[in-house]
Amino acid sequence: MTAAPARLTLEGIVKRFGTFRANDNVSLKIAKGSIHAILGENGAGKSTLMNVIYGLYEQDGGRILSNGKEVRITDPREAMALGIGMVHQHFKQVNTMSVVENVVLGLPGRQILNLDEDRRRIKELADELGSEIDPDQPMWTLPIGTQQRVEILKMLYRDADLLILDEPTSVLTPTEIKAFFVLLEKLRESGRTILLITHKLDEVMDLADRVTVMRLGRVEAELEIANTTPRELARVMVGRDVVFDIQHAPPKVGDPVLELDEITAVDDRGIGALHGLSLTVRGGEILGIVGIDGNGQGELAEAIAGLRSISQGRIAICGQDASGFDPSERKSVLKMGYVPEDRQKVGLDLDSDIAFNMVLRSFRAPPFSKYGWIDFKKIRAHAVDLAERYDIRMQSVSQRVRDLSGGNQQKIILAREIEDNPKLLVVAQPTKGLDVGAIEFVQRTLLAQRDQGTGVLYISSELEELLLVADRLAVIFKGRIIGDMPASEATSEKLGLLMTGRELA
Amino acid sequence: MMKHLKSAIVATFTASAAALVAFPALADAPRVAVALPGMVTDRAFNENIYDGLVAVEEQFGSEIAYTENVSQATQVEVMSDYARRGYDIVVGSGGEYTDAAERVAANFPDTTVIVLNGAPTEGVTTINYNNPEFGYLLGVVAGGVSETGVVAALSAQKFAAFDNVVDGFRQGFQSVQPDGEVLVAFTNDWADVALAKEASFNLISKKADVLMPYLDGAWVGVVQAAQERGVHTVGILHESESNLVSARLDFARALVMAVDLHQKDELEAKDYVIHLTSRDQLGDFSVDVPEEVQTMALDAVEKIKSGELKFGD
Amino acid sequence: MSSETLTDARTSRLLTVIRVIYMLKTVWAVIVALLIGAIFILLAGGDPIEGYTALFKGAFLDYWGIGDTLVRMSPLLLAGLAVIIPLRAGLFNIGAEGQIYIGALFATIAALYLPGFLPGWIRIILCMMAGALGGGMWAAIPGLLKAYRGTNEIITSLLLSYVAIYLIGAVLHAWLIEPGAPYPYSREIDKSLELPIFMPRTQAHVGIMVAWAAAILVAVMLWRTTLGQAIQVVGHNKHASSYAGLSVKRLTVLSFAMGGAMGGLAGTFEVLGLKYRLFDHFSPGYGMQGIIVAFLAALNPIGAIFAAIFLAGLQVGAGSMQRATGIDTTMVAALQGLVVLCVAVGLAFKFHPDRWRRRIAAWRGNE
Repeated sequence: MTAAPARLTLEGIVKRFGTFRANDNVSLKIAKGSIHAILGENGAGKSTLMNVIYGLYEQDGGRILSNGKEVRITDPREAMALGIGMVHQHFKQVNTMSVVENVVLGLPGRQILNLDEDRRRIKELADELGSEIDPDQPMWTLPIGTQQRVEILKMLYRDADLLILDEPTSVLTPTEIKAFFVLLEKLRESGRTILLITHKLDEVMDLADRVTVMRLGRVEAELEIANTTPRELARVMVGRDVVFDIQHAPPKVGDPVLELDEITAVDDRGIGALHGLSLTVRGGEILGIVGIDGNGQGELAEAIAGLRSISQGRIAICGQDASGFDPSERKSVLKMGYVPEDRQKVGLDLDSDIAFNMVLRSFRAPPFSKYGWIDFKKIRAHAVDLAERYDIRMQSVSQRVRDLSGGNQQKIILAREIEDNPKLLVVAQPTKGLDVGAIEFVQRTLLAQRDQGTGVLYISSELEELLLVADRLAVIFKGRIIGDMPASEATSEKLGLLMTGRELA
Repeated sequence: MMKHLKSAIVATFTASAAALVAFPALADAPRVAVALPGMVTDRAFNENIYDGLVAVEEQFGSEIAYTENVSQATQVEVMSDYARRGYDIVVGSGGEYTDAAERVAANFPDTTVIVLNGAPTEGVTTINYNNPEFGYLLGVVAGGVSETGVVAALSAQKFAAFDNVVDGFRQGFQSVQPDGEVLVAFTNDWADVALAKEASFNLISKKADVLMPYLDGAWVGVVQAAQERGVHTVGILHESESNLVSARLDFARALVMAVDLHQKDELEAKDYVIHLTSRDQLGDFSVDVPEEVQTMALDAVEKIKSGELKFGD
Repeated sequence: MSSETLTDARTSRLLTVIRVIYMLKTVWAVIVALLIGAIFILLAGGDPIEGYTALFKGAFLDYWGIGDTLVRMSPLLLAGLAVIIPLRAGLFNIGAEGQIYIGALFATIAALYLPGFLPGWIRIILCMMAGALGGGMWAAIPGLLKAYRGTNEIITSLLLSYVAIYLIGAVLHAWLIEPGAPYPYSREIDKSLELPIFMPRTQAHVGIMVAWAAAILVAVMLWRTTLGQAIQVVGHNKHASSYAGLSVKRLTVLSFAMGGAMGGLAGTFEVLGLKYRLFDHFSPGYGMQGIIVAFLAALNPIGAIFAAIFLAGLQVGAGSMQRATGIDTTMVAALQGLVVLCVAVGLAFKFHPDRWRRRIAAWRGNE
């Protein structure tokens, strides 16, 4: 593998934003026909580096060599001309157009379309990759995994032989991920080179030939996968040892803080999502909700938070009927913290600053507002305090939240929701898209809350995480809880059966 | 344009008209400025006044100026600015200028402020046609030609001048067809041709077979609709070949007369009313107007002239 | 080392200058627009220098011109605010024109029918409240439809403008018209209700100052009050707003109504300050021009004051230019379009300190 010639070489790449060095003297060598991973926490500078390679940013220093020749890449078209294609985390597609139209869209040098010819060639390419794609299907009807394939096809259609994939699995379901791995291996077999950007250790271990680990804008290590372990990678990535096993004392269970009694609710399309769901969370325990995505987890969290109305049943928080309390009253009066699943769309106002987001749910009440006037001084002081205690990395509290990494964004939400000592904490997919360091932080925070006597409802699709953190597990299936057991008695097999709807005898 | 001038002779100004021929272009010609609500190319009210302004320039050697499309909000602004620039006569074209004219006249006592087709106003010279007389005449012709017994008048907005025209029109029409019906419609836009056409179709579908538009540029739509559906039009603010007959409220002529009076220091800040006094204030009859209807109309002119028929003031 | 710090200091000073140049990009855009306009004037056979001199003198340097400019500014500014407030909540109010008309109607009715024993100034305040209420209620309709039925507010607010304009015509014809009026307008309001003029012999009425005060109040509301913050959160992110416990529906209606109240005030002042009657078709599209004001001001209520003065000056100066030089006023309509275009293009220029730092370094290197 090392003997193969380098497809792309970076030498001492520097990219500055103001005084901040997003990439600091980054060098790496990508062998032709290999899968090369770039591993790093959020904010390590991976995306910046990719944007430099793809011509979206221009480096402030250093050289780029493509097939051994020095090149200057100032826009994506030049990158394409060098055979470099990129698949972004969020696809650049026109949903109403068909597959073939999306693929040929923006092809240079085309005045007259010959879609029949394109159709034929797309089919050929798809066959070569072992995927079945109907070139005439409109984009929006395709599952997300297939859309991603189209995106890759688009690059191959432009004769890209080096594919940059930015967090490609973050949008995929577990089954889609498996199929995706097969596809990547096929691409490698066909002699193409893949640059995989990710923060997921297991992906790197499963797929890559070599890995470059980045931290704080610098290359920390470049390793052969064959010669490393996940633990070593995690340590290099985070800069210290990561504890994979979290020790926790047996719970000191108190009074119920959340009681759901036969609640029923519909989803956004008006289709039934919760069908008489009942559960109880007690103070001082973590109840994990296990289930395959789309069985009502999102609706459950929203119903408890007061963001989705229930048509039947009763929700009691700390013994008090929650109906009639809006989301912010549930926080301030009923002492419920809520970490929503989609932190960017729901949990934060990305266009406001850190300080304001720290009080997003409480800015209308004293001490932050009095007689309708808002007190920014207090809000800022409050934020400075929280940022320090929750180790939020930033330049100042007046920074826009949009410019922060996912982990820091989640820390803001956690800080805000935990700060006024809730009795109940509902967290939905709190570790989605976070790197190991941030995941560990989230889990430690939740455990600390539990130890203080808070009842935690932990909804996640990461079974491993729940087994690690939760005291008790409940399985949700088609909008109902169909099984309930202490974490100590839970096994993957038992849970797996329940998750597919087979109740235990 | 000369045709316009020829088409009207006004009794009130007969003497001045004679003087006009005798003493063309004076050395100290007054500077005249006009504020217009529409475009000078509308082949109706605005163009008519513009023609008058050009005639003033030609005949008195006046320096002239005008502003088109003056919105309501800027009437005072525009007229005051002309007054400040030393224009001797500042004209507002249409009744909507009455209020603005009053204010400008109060602020600039040395300036003569005229409103054409406006209500009597303190400090302002207003010049009006006796609207019912002209309406009556057209009503008579419409009554003679209408087969359905339904005719219609069409304007953009409801206001006194038009109401008076319609009153006369109705009386004239019903003097021929006592059971006849006069429809009235408003389009809310003086210049929108399509809207006027649409409204005309609507009136035609209600059996109206003679239409009287009281519009600026939008009159074209009424004539188009009438031609397409084979019905007739009569003209009051516009002249067109297709009209059965046109009674022209000739404000160009009125403006020339006013400037002339001003030259002789005789123009007063009062309301001048121009009556229908001559066959010449009517255009030619079209071939669709039968001989006996023409006679009837000319009789009416005589009756109005002699004072046998009297309307309003 | 010391020479390096010296260079750094010079570079950062230069960067500050460049940053300021970028901050003034709207000004540059206007200048570019005027230069392009000059070409048009030349092509039309005019003298641009003479024309622009007449324009700016007529709008900003002459006593009467300043009066006219301020009179024109008042409805433009208030219409601009009518657009800005809902847009801060992410809602497009394209119907300020209708809100102006309804506000004027309410104010006129109040002016004509409020009992005469009340002192004039109290009645003026009541008229203003009535106008604001009328505009606010009219604007609340698209707000309510948006909040509770999801109807596109751009379409409803726009179409309601036409309804309002025709409604005024109908109300005038049926009820308020002064008998024998030469034009569809209402009876005159009482002398005691006419807004005081603060520049003698011009039409500059105190409504202008109220409009300035309104702009400042809107700025304070947006930036210093809980309500303003709530509105902006809704504008940023509706999901996060619900999560924060804000009633998106209520704020949608409220921001629309507040915008409408501004439009209503604009209409009120046209009646109480300028025309002293309700005229049919009195507004020459102030509502639509309010969108331009909001855009030029980048949704900043204080900026809107300057944007409105500029636009008003352009329009007033256009008249002066035409009357002084014979250059057609349509040229100014074109100029106004050019300004909007150039400002829009200007928005695309963003200050990148890095890029400039590199450029400066390159220049230094060449020296």
